[in-house]
Amino acid sequence: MKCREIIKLLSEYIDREIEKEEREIIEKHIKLCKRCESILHTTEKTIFFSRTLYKNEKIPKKIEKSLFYQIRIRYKK
Amino acid sequence: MNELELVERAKTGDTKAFEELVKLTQEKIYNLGLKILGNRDDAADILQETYIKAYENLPKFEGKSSFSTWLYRIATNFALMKLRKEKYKKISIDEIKKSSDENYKLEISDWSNSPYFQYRNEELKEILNNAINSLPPKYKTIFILHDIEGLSIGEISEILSLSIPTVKTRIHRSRLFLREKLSEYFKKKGNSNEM
Ligand SMILES: [Zn+2]
Repeated sequence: MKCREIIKLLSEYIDREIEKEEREIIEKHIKLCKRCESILHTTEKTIFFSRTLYKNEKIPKKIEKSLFYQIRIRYKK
Repeated sequence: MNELELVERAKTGDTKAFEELVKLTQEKIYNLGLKILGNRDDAADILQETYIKAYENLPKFEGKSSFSTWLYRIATNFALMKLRKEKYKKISIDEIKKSSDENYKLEISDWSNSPYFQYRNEELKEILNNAINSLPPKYKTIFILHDIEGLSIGEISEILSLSIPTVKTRIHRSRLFLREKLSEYFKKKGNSNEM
């Protein structure tokens, strides 16, 4: 497989959405090809780093209150 | 009572059961809105709109997907509507295609072990945050659902009514585009001597 085709499969490779056969082809290629190896590593790091940008927070009380208010005024209808 | 039983009761007009469902899921929906839109006001709007619509459409809910997936679907559609009105400058679909299709030609440096690659590097965070915000609305949403929220490709295809290959392609292109933005930063850092 050429680099171009390897790159196309990288996300499926990362997500483990790939057949064993293709997986082995990619792993073989990456051992020999610095460029594809770099793209794989830096893509994984990009995903990893993205996760650190977001944190879950508790709903502020005020927002929760107004949510329930908005729901309840619809009950009577 | 589990989700399914609560849904059944809520459908018969049991408002207590409906409120129980809201309590069980509201944090997920709020945080989804927060991640896609980036501020509490919009997240609060999404939250309200989602549950009002869910309440009104509950009789039509057939349970083909789980209640949570159904909620995600409603919330995501509201979030997309808001996102499309955002003033944030978006890149074009062509641009994102180009950056993923031509990636392999460029000279690539492996910055994954660069001393600048750190959680505390605020400059890097800002670059990535801006890059995510510049993704076309559906790409950004898919990226967040998959890579941040951890939803499966199958779930996302249900939520957005897109085929599996389309979801996969968009995840892939988003990742490569973001990767390239970070690469540009590391390239610049590599050329300067300050550290
Ligand atoms: Zn290669």
